[in-house]
Amino acid sequence: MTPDLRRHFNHLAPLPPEARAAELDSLALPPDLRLELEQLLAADSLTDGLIERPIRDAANSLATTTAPLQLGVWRTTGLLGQGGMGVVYKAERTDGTVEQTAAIKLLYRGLETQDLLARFQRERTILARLSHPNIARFLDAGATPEGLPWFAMEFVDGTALDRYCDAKNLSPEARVRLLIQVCAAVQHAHGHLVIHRDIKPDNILVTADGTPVLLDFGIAQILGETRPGAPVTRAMTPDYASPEQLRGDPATTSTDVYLLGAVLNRILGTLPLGDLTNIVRRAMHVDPARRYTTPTELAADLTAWLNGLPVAATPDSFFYRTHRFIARHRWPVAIAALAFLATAASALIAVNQARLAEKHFRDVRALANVFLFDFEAAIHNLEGATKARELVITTAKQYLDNLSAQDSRDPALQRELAEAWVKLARLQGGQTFASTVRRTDAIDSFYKSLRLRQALGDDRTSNPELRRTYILLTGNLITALVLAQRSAEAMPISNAAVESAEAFARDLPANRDAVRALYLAHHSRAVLCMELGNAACSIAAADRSLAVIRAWGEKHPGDRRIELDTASAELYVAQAGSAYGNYQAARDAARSMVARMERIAKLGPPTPESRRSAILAWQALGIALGAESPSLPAQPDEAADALRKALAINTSIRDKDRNNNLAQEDQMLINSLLGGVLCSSRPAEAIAVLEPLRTEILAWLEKNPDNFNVQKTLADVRNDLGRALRLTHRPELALKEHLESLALSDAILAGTPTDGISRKARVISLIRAAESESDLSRAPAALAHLDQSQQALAAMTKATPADASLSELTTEANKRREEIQKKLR
Amino acid sequence: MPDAAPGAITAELSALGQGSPDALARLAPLVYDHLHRLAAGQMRGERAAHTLQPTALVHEAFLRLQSGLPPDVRSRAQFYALAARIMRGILVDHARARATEKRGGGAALPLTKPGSLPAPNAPLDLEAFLDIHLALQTLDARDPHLARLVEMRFFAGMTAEDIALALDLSVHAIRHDLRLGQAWLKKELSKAPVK
Repeated sequence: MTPDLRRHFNHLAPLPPEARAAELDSLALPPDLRLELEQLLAADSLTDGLIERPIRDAANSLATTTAPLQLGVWRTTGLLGQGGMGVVYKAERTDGTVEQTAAIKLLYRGLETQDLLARFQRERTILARLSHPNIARFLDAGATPEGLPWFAMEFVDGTALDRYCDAKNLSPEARVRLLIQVCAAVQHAHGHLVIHRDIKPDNILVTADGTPVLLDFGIAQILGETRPGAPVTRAMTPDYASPEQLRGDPATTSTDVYLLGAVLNRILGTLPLGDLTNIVRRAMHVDPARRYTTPTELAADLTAWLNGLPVAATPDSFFYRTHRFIARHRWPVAIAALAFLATAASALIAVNQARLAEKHFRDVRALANVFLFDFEAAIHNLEGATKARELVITTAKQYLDNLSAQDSRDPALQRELAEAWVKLARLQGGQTFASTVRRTDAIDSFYKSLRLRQALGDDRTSNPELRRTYILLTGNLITALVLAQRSAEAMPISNAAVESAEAFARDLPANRDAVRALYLAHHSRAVLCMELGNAACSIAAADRSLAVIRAWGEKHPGDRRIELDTASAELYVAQAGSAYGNYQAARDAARSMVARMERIAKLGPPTPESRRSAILAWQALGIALGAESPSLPAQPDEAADALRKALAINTSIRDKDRNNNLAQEDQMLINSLLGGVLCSSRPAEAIAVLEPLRTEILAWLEKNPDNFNVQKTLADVRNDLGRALRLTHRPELALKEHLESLALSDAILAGTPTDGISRKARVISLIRAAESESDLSRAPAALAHLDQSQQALAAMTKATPADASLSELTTEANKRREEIQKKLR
Repeated sequence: MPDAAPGAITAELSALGQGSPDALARLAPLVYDHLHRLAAGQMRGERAAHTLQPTALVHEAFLRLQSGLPPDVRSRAQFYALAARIMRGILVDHARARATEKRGGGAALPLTKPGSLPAPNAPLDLEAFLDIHLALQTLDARDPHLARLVEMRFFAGMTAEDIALALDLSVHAIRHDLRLGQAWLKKELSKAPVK
């Protein structure tokens, strides 16, 4: 290369590609040189793999082209295959005793060979006793001079099980029959105290006459004991290892049952399954105790399926047992799940990179789906499982991202993905009852699902189930957006959902899904409008959702789901009533909800949802009773009693799971409400509640600085504390609290100017600050704060005239102004 | 002969280190044979990780060969350059042998003895590999320094730092030259085949 070329290339190559052209122009080079430079720069951005890959391939090919080897009495005659752990040679016996052909597995990696061989000497007697038509006999073992171990077994001329099934295009029945024979072989070995540990399609060869023969019996056992829990097994079979193997726990006969299930799952692929799915699930259960006890039991269920008889594995027992198991053993299951999902995800990545067969991809998807969904279902209603969920989330997301990148046009896969994203979002904490606070992630996942479903036309479909699922999804997304302080973004989604649901319910007025969709659409709208401070919208939506679900409930008395939905609708009617000054409606709805929750409690054991609804019912009643208007006095003592009931239930939930952020948030919120209802009538009691609460919240916010709900709670706490301090004649301290509260609301509003609650909190801070300033004879400051409050109130009243509480606050502000002016005169 | 090789290599390396012009020619077949045996044995052991580790291989060879040699930087550099060239030679011979084999010939297989095992159906893009070899030859004619760097990078698996140390040049300069050499090679490789 000429020095010029070299110099210019070194100068241009580090520049960003888009900057190179301009720089080239400015150099004004001879055309030849310029052309060559352009070509070189273009080539520079190509992957180095262009050079590296063919060289690596050539070197790898060289490494496996080797001369015949003499291994003990065996001489290799050809290569049968190679894998991550070793190569398999075909070999002939050379000691002249008998003519015998063997398959010899030579491991690449040296192990503690002396130990290994000693162990083999002990094992070979046992292995020699294995005599079964579906097991390849173990013949011999040894080590090369370099210390690489080898194992000789009977040579089987056959095809790997999965390839055989596909090549022959076998029916599901024929595939199941093959697996039943393999079960028999494994059972035989178990009877001789030999565990296989490495059952996979590659280790099951089917001969020309259709006999499946299981290879490698004893090898994993010998290797596996070299170092208990060593990653030997993992290196051997990343796609098929059982959860306990991945954990490094000792393999048991149950491990082989799991592996048989994995092989079954693999050879069935995406054939229509029915009961076979349940059989696979049971065989592959994460909890070894919940699997089939023996291969024979698995074979018996498969035979029952062949004969059209009921199978023992049913989804109900699976779910029930999963749930109970997890309740007892949260951590091991979580780790097993993680390991499993990690395997599935990494297998998937490997598949992408190697562009392996699509079939394998489908298998991995099926495996991971079974697991992700069932695991989620099992922990969904379980308190105390926050950490377990956390562990699953990361891996599940990676897995879904990989699947999404596949760019499939198959609607079934797209819906499957949409469903999976919602489940992930739930795990991430958008809508769960014991959730960690990962709302942004949850929202992203909900959006991914929504886009998939919109693309599939589920918002316009005439299929009730799909339409309801779509509406439910919008509700989940809206709620998550509200919780994440992104309410304005949710309004168009809500508009579309209500429109879709109303049209749908008109077409199918007696359809359960349609009715529930309508209820959900209005319910989430009520939540949203309340957050936006839109009184009329929120009251109307809450009333409509309650009317829809109550009418449905009257037609279906005693339905627990409808009762819970009705309770939720009542909650929002009560909330809207309390928030916008219709306290009588709020008290009626809250009392009805409390009574309803007591009825629901008699319908069955409590669930996290029913417990949480009970908390909310008492809380709503407490708020409604604590509020007062000129025509309806507050009942602070009754309100405090209701809130203490809510507190008692929440304390029991929080104490079960100290990592449950939501329960901690609730605890702070209810305490703040308690302080709020007490601050006027019993200020000393209120201070006893509010002062430690303020400290607790401040500490909590240090750790969770982005939690707006808790910031809003703190703004209220400071206002209520200020009021109690003023009433106990400490106006200076009171003023400080109100000004702090004001600053907090201002900060929140700087980010989200539409936040109705903070706007109101701000007005309250201004009025209360003015009161304290008046006490302290600082009239100008007081009047300035009142001016600000009245300006804000005027704007708010203009925006939401239906909010009756605004006129109360306006009246109060006017009254304070008159008092101050009177004092001044 | 296998046992004689390291001693002979050591002697020739010393000659090379003292500037003997034809030492390289005499050295090549010795090292070739030695490295080949090393490659067949060692790489089998390395395959568990699915990566070729020629650096380790060459280090190993060097450690064995240099016993008795003063830790002389210059001969060390030459050794690495030599090893890279030899590795390349081994692989080119191998790829050509495989190509012959594929076309149904296979009379002369320089790297494997008669009656050797049939190769497994490992994916091997012989054309792509031989294209690299030809492109490198062209580069060698035009700019031997760049060709040598690319060879050390890809056939001896050396990093820019390794190469800088071996050749006693700055890492910065090596990085620039490697980038240029690679770009040139990639430019050649991405041309439409003229065959």
